[in-house]
Amino acid sequence: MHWREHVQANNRCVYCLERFHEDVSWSWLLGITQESILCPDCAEKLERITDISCEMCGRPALSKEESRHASFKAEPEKQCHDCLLWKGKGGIMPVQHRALYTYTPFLQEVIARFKYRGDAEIARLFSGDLKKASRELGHIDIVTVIPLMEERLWERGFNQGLLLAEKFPYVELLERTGAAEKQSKRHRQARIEALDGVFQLTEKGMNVSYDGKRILLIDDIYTTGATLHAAASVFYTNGAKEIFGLTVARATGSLKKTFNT
Amino acid sequence: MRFYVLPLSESTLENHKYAVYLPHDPQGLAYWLIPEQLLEPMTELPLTRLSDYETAIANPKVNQTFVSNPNLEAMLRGRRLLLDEVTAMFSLQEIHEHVCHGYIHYSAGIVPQSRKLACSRCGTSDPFLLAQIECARCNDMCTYCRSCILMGRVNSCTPFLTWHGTQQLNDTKMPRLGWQGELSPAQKKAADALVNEVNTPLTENRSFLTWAVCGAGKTEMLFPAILAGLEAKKPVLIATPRTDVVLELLPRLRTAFPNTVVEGFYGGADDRYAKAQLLIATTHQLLRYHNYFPNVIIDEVDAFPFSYDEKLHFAVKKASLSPSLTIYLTATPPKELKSAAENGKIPHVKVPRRYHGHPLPVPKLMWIGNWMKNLQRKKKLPYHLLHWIKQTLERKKQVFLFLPRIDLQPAVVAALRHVFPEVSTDSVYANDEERREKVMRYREGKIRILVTTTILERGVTVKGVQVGVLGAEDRIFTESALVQIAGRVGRSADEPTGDVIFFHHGKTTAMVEAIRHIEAMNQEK
Ligand SMILES: [Zn+2]
Ligand SMILES: [Zn+2]
Ligand SMILES: [Zn+2]
Ligand SMILES: [Zn+2]
Repeated sequence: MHWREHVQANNRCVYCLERFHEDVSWSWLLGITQESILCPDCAEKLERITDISCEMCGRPALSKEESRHASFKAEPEKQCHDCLLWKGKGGIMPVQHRALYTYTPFLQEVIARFKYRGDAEIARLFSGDLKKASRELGHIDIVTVIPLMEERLWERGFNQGLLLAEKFPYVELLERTGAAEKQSKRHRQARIEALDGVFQLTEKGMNVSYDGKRILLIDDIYTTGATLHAAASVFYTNGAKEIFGLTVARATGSLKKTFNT
Repeated sequence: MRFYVLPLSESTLENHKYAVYLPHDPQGLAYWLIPEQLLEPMTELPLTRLSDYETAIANPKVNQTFVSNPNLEAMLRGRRLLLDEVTAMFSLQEIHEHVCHGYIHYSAGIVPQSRKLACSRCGTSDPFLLAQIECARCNDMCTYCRSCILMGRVNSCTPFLTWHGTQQLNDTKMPRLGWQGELSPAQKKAADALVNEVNTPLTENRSFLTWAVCGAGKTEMLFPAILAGLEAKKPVLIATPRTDVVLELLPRLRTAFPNTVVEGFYGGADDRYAKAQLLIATTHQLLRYHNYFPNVIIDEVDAFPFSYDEKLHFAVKKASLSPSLTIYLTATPPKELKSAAENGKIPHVKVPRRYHGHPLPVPKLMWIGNWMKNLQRKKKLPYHLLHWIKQTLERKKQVFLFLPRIDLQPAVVAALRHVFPEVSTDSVYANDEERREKVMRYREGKIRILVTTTILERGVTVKGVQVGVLGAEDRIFTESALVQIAGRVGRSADEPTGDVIFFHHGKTTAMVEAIRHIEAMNQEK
C-alpha cells in the first residue's frame, strides 16, 4: 500500500453527511492545514467571493475591469450606486461589508437548512472562515450580532448569528424593538425605511461605551444592507468610530422564492 | 420546551385547569407535568425535559365525556408528530387539554438506547448525526437529530404527540373495487393467497413474500387483498423507497377504490397530514406514522442499496401495528428473504409468468474489451454496441442503454450523436430536473436512444424497447439490478420479446446469476 493511502482521512461531510476521503498532504502531517469538513462535491458548489466591484459593500465583481481584491480596505474608494445612495440619504454612516460567498441556489439550500430547519451544526462550515476574514481588519473593539425576534428564537432554538460568531469573543448588545415586519418579501425601498429604528440597545448594551470604538457585526446574509445599516446606526449614534459587517452570503441578483417553514 | 413538575399533593394547584398529567416515580409519588408556557413563571418549581424524565409516564385514561377536536384527531390519528408540526395548526393549550383527558400522549424526541442516544423518529444513533445546540427553548444543551431534520427538528426538549382516542376507521363508505379487469391464472393464485393472509386473524407478527417477475402485473394482484383489509375497516399501507412508485400507483389505486380515500405521501406532496384509508408512502414520510397499520405492503423491497433498505424496514416496523402482517412484493428478493422463503420460514407465492403469459427475454452476453479506455481516450464506443444499436434502429425499435456511472453519460451521448447524427439521443438520471419530460418524450417515441443510470418509472411500458447494458461487469450491476433492467423488455402483450444484451469487459457472477434467475423463472409453472 502506498503511504498516501495510510494517511487518507476518512471524514464526514458536514452538509451532505456522506463519508468522503481526502488526500492528505505533508502539510497535514505536519499539522499545517486543517481537515476539511465539507466533501469535495459540496465544496465545489460554494462560490467564494475573491473579487469585488464596490469597496464599501463588497459587491462581487462582474467584469475584470471593475474587479478589486475582496479584502477590507483602510480607505474604501470605489463605491457602487447603492452605497452612494446610502450616503445620499444623509446622516447614514458607512458600513464596510464583506461576504464569504455568493448566495447561489446551493448556498440558499445550505442556509435554509441551517436557519429554517435549525441545523446548527452547519455553522461550523463558516465560523472559522469568518474569523479568518476578520484578521485583516486589525484591532476590533467589539464583535456583536443581529438579534432575532422572540418567536423566531423559539422556532429555531438558537440565533444563527451567535453560532456564526462563535470564534469571536462576541457580546450581545442589541434587541429588536418589534417594529419590523417579516422582511424577505418586501421591496427594497420599503425595507430600508421599515428597518430604521428596528434595533435598540439591550440593558447590558447600554452600559457599554461605544465612543471611538471599531465594531464588527456578524450576520448570515447580506441582501440590501438594510439590516446592517439599521444595527450600525444604533452604534454610530452612540459614538462608535467605524463599523464593519461580515456575512456568509451575498445576495446579488434575483433569488429563488425564499422558503419558510 | 420544558415542563413544570408539580407534586400531586400541591393542593393549591389541584384545580388548575392544565394540571391533569401524572407520571409516577418508583416511590409511588405522582406529579403533574405542565408546559412551561402555560403557567406564569414559578421559580420554586423544577423544570424538566421529557428526554430527562426517566420514569415511565402514566397517562390519564381516555375521558369519554370530553369532547375532542375531530380536526386534531384527523391530524394525529395513526401518526406521531412533533409538537411543532401540530402547533402550526392548533394551540398548545388545546393540545395539552387533550393530553389531560387522555386523548394525546407526549413522548420524548431523543431517547437513550443501549448507553447511546437515539432519535425516536428515524432511529439514528450515529453520534455524528446527533449534534448538540445551546437551546433557547430549554436553556440547556439539547441534542438534535440531523438525519431526519428536513421533516422538522427532533431534539431533546421537543415532545412528540400521539393520539389515543378511537383508532378505528368509522367514517368510511363501504369500500368497493372499481377495477373491471381480469386476473391471469398466476395473478389469481397470488391474489387468493394474499386475501387469505389478510383475513387470517393476527396473533403475532407475520410476513408473506410475493415473488413476481417484472411485468407480472403486481398492482392488480394486490387489489383483492387491499379490499379485504378495507372491508375489515382497517387502514392499508403501501410502503416504497421511491417517490416514482407513489406517483405511479396513486391514480391507479384511486380508480380501483372509488369509495376509499386514497392518499400518496412523498416529499413535496400537497398535504402531509391528510386523512386516508389507503396510503402509499415513501420511507421518509412513513416516519410520521406510529403503531397504526395492521396490513403493510412493501413494494420493490430491492429497489435501492441496502442502507436505504434498512431505513425502510425501521420505518415500516415503526408504522406497523403490533401485531401486523407485512407483505413483501418484489421481482428480485434479497438473499435473506429468498432463503427464508425457500426454507419455509416465510410463506410465499411465486408469480413466474408475466400477465401476458409470455416468457421473460433472456439476456445475452457480448464481450467488448476495454471499452472504458476507448471511451475516455478515443471517445469511441465499441463496434459491437454500435452495430447492435444500428440494427435496432433499422428495425424501428427504441434503444434503452444503461451505464454504470453517471459521469460517463455525456461522453457516451456525444459519441452516439457523432455516429448517429440523425437520431434523437438523450440521457436521463435519477435527479434530472427534466426527467419526467424526457421519459414522456421517450414513451412517445420522440427520443430514439435513451442513455441512463437508473431504472425509470417502475411500470413504464415502452412498446418494443430493446435494452443494452454497457459495462455490465461493474459492481453496481448486481444480480437483482440486472434482472430488473432485463425486466424492462417485452412488457407489452403486442411485443412480448426483445433484446437484452450485457456488453461487458469480463463476465461476472452477477451476470451469470441474473441469466440463471430469469431462466429458472421461465421454467416454473
Ligand atoms: Zn458533502
Ligand atoms: Zn456598494
Ligand atoms: Zn432522526
Ligand atoms: Zn432544548
